[in-house]
Amino acid sequence: MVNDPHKVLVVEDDDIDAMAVERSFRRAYPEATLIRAHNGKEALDILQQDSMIDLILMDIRMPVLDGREALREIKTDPHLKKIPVVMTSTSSDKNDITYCYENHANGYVVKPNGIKATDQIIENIIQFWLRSCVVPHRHLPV
Amino acid sequence: MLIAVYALLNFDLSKRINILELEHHNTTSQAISLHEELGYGGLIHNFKNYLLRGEERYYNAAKKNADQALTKLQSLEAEAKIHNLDIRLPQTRLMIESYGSSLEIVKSLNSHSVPVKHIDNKIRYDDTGALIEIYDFVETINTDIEEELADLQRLSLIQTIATITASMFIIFFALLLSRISNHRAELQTLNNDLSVTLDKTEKANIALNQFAGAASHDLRSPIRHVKLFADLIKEDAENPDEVKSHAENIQNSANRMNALVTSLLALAKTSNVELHRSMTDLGELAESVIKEMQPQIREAGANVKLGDLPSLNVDRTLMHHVFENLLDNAIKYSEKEPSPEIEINAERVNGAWEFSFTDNGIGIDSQYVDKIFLPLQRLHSHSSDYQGVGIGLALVKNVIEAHQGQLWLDPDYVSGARFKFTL
Repeated sequence: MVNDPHKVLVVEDDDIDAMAVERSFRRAYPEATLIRAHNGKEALDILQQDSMIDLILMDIRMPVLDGREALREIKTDPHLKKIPVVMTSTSSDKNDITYCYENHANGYVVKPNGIKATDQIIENIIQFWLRSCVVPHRHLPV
Repeated sequence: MLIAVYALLNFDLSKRINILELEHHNTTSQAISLHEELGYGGLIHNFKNYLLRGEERYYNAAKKNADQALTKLQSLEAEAKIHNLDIRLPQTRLMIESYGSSLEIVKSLNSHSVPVKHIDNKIRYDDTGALIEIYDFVETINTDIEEELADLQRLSLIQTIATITASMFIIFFALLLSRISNHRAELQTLNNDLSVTLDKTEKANIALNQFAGAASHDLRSPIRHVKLFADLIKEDAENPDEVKSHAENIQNSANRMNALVTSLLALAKTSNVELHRSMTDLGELAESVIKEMQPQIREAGANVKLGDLPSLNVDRTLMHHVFENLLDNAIKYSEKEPSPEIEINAERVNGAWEFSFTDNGIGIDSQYVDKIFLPLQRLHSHSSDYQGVGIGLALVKNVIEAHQGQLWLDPDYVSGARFKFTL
């Protein structure tokens, strides 16, 4: 429901990067539920089981199934394609960025350096995607 | 085809030339025959004998001469007609007829015993015109035949020249077409080669871009981590345990970056490397690698079995990297329980030495087979128990290929992973 805390799927193979995101989330939105997947395949498995994911933050370079392939799978699946996906990557390569938007990523963030920059970006993501945007499976506020 | 047409036309021409030559000969023969029928020993000769001697046999001979001369004359005139020549022999005909009628006059006057001189005066006939006429007549026909013959011979010559020219053109065009075809084939081969080269270059560029992307990602990550933990140290300055933990993480990141840079450097050194071959006892080399890696082997509790390895002419330093990386790989991915079992062997297969590194570990899913030899490709998360920078197998591949060997993962082995290479 509207006031339920949001569920965010963090798809990241790097434990330190995942920890940094989690830390920023805890500070800005402690009620949110964070679910961790270590690669694209794990993320798809979780998405098949949990239909209440509000946002996906996904790395690109990961083993087993990388972020590019996982994004394509998500955005071509009729049940998953409405979930906002924000790609988080070390890469600022034009090809990666173009590929992600062409495959309907909802945002692309180059992984920030330092905790302040991480806090700022996570705060912005929460503010926009979780506090301002409405996703289809949640009721609109009256 | 052309030669067949030429042969056919030429055959026809030759036939026509032969006929004309025969006609030329016939006309001349007939004219001579007519002339003989009329001249000495012929009509005039027998007529005069009859006139002088009055013997019956000369009369009969002259009569026969006249008849035959007429037949021959008609035959000659018919010959002229064949050649569309509107010519006749009126004076000759008149002369024959005149001698015929004169013969009767002589016969009649002889019977009345008229003197020869008197008779001769009465029947005197100038036959010069007739004889010239025959000569002219034959001349006209033969000239016509000769002109026709000359035309035919010219035609035959033209035909031969035309056929030779056409044949030469055909040969020239055939050669030209053959050369064009050869050039086209050569061009096609060059195009194919170029296409293969472009394809390879494109693939190499893609691989290089992927490598650059991967290297940039893997180098940036520890830098980002250092910055993050440095920030956290500041934030948690009041908490010594946290500070210590963050400092350890910085150390780990620095170590990781160091390992990555070292590996990248080693990889760069094995790319397009010049080999320094020497006869190397690979069994002894493997033993020294195992000895060097003893702490790691002991820590993993691994059991390494070494088979008989040959001595080969290889680059010892580079082969050391190969053994080190494959053994390291096997230790990392071996089964921890009950204990990692690793085997290094070599056997002679089809004239080459085939080496194998076998472990009893988690193995590699067939879908990743294409990726495992690419640099910086990890099949496991950073967080997993399997640590590595993802350079080792790419480096091994470089070295084996520099030795003109091949490296692959044995698809038939399922109880772990078995890497094989040839030398």
